[in-house]
Amino acid sequence: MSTTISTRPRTRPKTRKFKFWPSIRFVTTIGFFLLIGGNLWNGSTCVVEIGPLEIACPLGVVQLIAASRVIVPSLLLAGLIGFLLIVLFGRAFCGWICPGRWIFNRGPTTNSKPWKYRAWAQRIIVGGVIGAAYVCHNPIFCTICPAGVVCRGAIAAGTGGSILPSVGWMGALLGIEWASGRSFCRDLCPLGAGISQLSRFNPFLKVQSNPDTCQPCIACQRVCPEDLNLSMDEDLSSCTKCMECISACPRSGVEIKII
Amino acid sequence: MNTSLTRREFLRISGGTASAGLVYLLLKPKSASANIKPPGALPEPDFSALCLRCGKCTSACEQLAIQIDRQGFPYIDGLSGWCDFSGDCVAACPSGALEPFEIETVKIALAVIDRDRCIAWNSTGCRWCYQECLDIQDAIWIEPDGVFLRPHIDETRCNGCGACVNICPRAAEVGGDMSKGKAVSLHQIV
Repeated sequence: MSTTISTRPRTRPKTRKFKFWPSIRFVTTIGFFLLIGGNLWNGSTCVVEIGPLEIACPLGVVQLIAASRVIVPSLLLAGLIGFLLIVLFGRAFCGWICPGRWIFNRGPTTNSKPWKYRAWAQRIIVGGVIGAAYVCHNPIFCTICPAGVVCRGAIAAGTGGSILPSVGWMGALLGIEWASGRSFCRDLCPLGAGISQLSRFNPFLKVQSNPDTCQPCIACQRVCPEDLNLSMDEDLSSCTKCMECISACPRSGVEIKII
Repeated sequence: MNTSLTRREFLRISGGTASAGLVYLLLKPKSASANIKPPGALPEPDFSALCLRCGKCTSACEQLAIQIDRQGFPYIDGLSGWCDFSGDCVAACPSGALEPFEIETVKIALAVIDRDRCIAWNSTGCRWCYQECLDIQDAIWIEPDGVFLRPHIDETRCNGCGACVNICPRAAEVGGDMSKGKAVSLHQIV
């Protein structure tokens, strides 16, 4: 009995390449939520207490002031420290800490183009959220904020509560993303839109294409979750510093500009 | 009838329907016991305007008494732990939605015994809530009724800490749903 060995070559080599930047970002996200859920860092993405330092979400602080018409000095200071972190790191929160990056943008309907006038769309979304908080006397977006929802789930898991509300809100947000046909992080998230607008003040750690090696193509745009093209786009305030473009560029023409 | 629905449109409609259903489920009115706020909470319109839903009070509470409800607000129902009025949540609150309180006079809720379900009211023998409350607040008293001993709650003394809810052994008899099984529950003070 002769045994025939199939000599047909595999069409897709099964080498699973270690991806440096996504791995390190995933570890950062998971580590943050383990610290929150394990109560080593007291707080959540809304307000977190790291040693003597208190950092608050600027959008949450502004919504709270709009909703309650009260300014709490310590919270305002924490919000300013949050703003300072945005000046230092830009929108890195979205790429490195927010769990939404790993949950959203996987549906079959979410491959549309971004908003045509993205900066204005972001301003309208942020203004609408703050206006809704002012009208309703309630920071409404904080209830459904994906980062806050997952933080509350982590805290509930750490203190013996139910994580079902968090799962439900994330499911509802995924449904909204499916129904709209847009990438949630890129086009819809008020938190991302707010941080993008504040990132205009961020001069540090920016990716840029090296004009000597860059031959304008769309390699960076294809991997960019924010649909940015380094050789064509001037406004990089939406960049989440996920560093995908660095490994995607075929000519290694993307570099990180420290200042 | 010619209905042309592409796959993408179908997916979009189903996604929208699913999210609308989930939002309805999550915003449905809560049960009364899920509305009891931690001690020192501001009165209602101010509380929901100032609460950042950050969950710091929940993780600060060493008694594990504070839980997070579906909209992100903290509440106390006595099922996971009871409030010892230590003020840890007030110290943790970054926005002032929880304010310092007088430990002698503060009341967050009122415990109410469900006499249809209570073991001591239906048969005899159980005095767990009485003994638990004796050292804490002494708000439960026992009325002898023939050979039976019936627990009553002193409404002027009870501060709603939830220790009696936490200790009540009646839960084990109704499946796994703790909230439906207890014979004593916290009610809002109106």
